Amino acid sequence: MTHPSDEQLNDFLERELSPADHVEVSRHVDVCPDCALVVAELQRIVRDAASLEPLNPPPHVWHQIESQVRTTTATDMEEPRAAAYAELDSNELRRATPQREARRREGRGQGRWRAPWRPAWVLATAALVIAAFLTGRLVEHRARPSTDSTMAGPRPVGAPAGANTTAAVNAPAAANANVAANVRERVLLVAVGDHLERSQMVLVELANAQTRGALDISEERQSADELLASNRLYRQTAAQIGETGVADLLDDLERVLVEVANGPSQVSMQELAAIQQRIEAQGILFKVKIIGSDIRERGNSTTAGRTQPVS
Amino acid sequence: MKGILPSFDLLQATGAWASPSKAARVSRPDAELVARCRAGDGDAFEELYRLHSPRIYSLACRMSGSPQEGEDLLQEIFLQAYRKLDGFRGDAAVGTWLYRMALHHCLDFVRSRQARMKAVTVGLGEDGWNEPAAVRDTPVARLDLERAVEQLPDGYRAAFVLHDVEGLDHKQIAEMLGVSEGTSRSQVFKARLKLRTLLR
Repeated sequence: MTHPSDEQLNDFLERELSPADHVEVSRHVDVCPDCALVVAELQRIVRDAASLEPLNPPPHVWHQIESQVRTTTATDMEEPRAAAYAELDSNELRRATPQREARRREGRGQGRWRAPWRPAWVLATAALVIAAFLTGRLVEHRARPSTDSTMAGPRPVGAPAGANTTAAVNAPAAANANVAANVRERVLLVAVGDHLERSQMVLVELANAQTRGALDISEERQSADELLASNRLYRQTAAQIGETGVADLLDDLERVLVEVANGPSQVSMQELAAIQQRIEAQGILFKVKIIGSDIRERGNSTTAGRTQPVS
Repeated sequence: MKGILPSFDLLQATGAWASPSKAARVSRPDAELVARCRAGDGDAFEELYRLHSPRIYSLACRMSGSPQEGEDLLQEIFLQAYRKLDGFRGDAAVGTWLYRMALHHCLDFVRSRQARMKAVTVGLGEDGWNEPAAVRDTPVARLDLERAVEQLPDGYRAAFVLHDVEGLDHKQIAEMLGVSEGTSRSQVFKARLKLRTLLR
């Protein structure tokens, strides 16, 4: 018999050959050291693959999950869990079990995790802008139907109900609402544009950094940490108002920010290369530049009329 | 192969991987754990994570071919699980539920990365080799085989991991990957040949 093909040897291993072919290949393998070696190597791969041990995730992954759960529960989870996790933040941390405390100490020691701390003003600004924006939208929605009935002025005597009013009185009201909406949108766009600009600076610093040994990126890390909280608020708001392009970008950006914020302050050449590859692979810097520039442009032109969402 | 590898059914039959048909037999600790998670008990969610994260992390690392991507996927899977806990009906063990979610999440990731890679590597060769993992000095000690699996092209790696590591049969893999059984068979075979070369 000539040498069986690799595929035949694989089928032999899988016992997928016809009985006659199986016997023939088996006889050949018994006498051919080359084919016996192929079979032995394939068998070893199959055996080793089946017995691969489960891998243990590094500790910081759980800390990141825990942190994200706490952050997101406050905004988009069901009330009972949100309340319970909010409770966790204040009470649970104080009555930490010895194991939890040990884990936290271990995490801090490695520089992989620190308790979530955000400068109040960053979050406050983002929250204020978003709250103002959303409240404005809500009020606008509620105001519109009521305009017809309550803001249209007294009905002329003899006129039928609902027939009075409206065109003349509603026109300025609608124009005012439009201007207010534009202003709110502009404020939000300016805030997001500013956020993207600051993010871009951090990404550029990291993308252009070079080192042969350890590199201190504590400043970038702190900036990423600060940007993270407002990024989440902006992302959720963008998704809520249908700005899917912006929401997707902020989602991508968030992953990089999380990685930097929860990473070590001192990075090795390899760790820096990994961060840079991550930034480059996602094209995140390019997207931040383009969409950031588009948003700032929209922010400047919003006063002239309604804008189109970024797609 | 069937004699060497544990089948998916066998895997399912072992504790956490109980088959969906064992709905009524979802263990009491499982049900209690899920109930506590739903009530917002942070310790319970952490316990769920400690119990199941190694298996899911292994799947995520091996399917993505990168410890870093594995970490991201693990994080996304558990956040998704947390959001979907209210939808867990107890038809299967919580481990099976999580595993299925992880499997689909990893497959989505591989598909989307394949699409992205295809878009930027047209003409670079039919194999479409994935870039080597960025970080070699991960905290996880790796076997040679683990490293070699990381270097497989996405399609080969997904079929190999699902078949030879996770123990799924070609029919299940074909359904999941949206390919024929023959393609699944062929990809596993080619993966083994590549690994044989890489491990020399």
